[in-house]
Amino acid sequence: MHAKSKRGFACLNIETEEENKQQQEKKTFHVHVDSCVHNKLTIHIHRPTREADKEKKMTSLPLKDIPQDGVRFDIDVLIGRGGYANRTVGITRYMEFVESYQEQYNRIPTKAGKIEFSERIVRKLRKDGVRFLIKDNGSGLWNDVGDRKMRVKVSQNLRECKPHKPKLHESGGSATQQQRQTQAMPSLSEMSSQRIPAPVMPDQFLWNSPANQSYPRRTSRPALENPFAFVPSALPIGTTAAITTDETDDHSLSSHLSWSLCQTRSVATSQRSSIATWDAFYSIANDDPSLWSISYEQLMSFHQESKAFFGDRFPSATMRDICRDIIEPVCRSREHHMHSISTQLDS
Amino acid sequence: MDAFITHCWDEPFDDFVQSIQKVFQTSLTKQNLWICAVVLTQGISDDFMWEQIGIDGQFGVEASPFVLALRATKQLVVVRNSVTDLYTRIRCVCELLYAKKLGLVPRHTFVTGPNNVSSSRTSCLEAQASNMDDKAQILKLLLAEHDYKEIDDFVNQFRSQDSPT
Repeated sequence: MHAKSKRGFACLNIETEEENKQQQEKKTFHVHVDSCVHNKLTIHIHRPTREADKEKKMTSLPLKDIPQDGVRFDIDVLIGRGGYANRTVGITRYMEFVESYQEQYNRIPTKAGKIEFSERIVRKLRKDGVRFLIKDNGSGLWNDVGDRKMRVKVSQNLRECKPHKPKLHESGGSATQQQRQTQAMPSLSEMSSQRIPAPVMPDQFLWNSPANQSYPRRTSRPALENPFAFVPSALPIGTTAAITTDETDDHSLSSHLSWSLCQTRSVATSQRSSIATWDAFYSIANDDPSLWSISYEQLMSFHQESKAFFGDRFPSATMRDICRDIIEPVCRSREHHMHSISTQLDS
Repeated sequence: MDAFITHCWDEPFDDFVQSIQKVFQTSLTKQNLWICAVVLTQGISDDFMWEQIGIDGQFGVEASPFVLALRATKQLVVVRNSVTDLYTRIRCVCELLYAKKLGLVPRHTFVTGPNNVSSSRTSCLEAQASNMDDKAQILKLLLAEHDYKEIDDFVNQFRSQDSPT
């Protein structure tokens, strides 16, 4: 053991026999000299905790420009639709993990409380070294989506993951459709009436726990049907009807979303490149009121359609009338009772 | 989102759209607009609406979508109408004062729509809301930072602003 005193601080290089046998390397501990009275030196050794080790481990992981062989398919969560993204061990473990908190999440009455809960889950996942990676189609490299998008993704999964686990041989679309029909979210008024204390997160989540040994296949979102077929005059509000065409193509998705965020410049410039998937797109839209916009063109289109809908009554139709006769029926037709964008995207 | 539209629901929809057209029709880039009537979920239930716009007493006005959207917007568009004075609604007063607080007024603000209610002098204390709790909450917030006369003088500038030709 060697010690060097340095104005109240000392650095000890400690070599243990066991470590020498195993690794032949030195361990350095930082110590703080608490007092030095009558030649008696009291020191307190700050040994890195396991959690600090984990955090250090996490921060040491690359978050950008990760090659294919740098992706830990058993831990990292890959963002993307179909194929690889839904079949990795990482995503299935993650979904199991999220599912185990869904009940607590649904009991939280307020949106802010739900967001806080999701943030805690993100911190927990980060501590466990989980990265949410999205592929840059240009370079073929993977990048971490960052904590914010990770949080909205977690929120989305907490909202949407279903208690029913689809069987491995079940086709994606039908399983999801069945789940959508069977699961009903509690209404906000129901949740508001409950005053449930904030749920407690467990100290440790084990990726290898027995509960996480089964890996059901995640199902993909079913093909969308025209959600506005029953409100033909409300087409401008529901220009998401155009999404029916090709949900599998991200670019066509962007071009068809008129209610939308992809056309929202702030999203288009700063986030669109990383919002390559429906899920990420949806989840960001859902949680950020600043993205709940309608484009100028959509408003003009909506204006024309409203004119056709009201006919002679249109000149005297107020915003209140428009809302009652066109907007409200669209909103009411959504089972999740979320705001307009999310309900339309989630049709 | 580029522009936050503050407006009143009693306005004729046709006038509303035409007023917005006057502001943006010459814009080279097409704007994305935050209009509460179309971006919030409507017609589910009163409870749902109160929670949605932050009258549930949990987080208040600061956490409401209106304020969050104002924080993110680049422009404020005040759409007046020929039927109702915009500032007889406490929410509209609140949006205006938050816009001022967030630096949108005056440099990033457009005022459009007719000014034929420019003579109206309804005080913010008399402004209405569809929910009394909402009114109380907003007034408490505004009066904590401003004198009501100060608010009224500020609002009157928008009432009397010339309408675009």
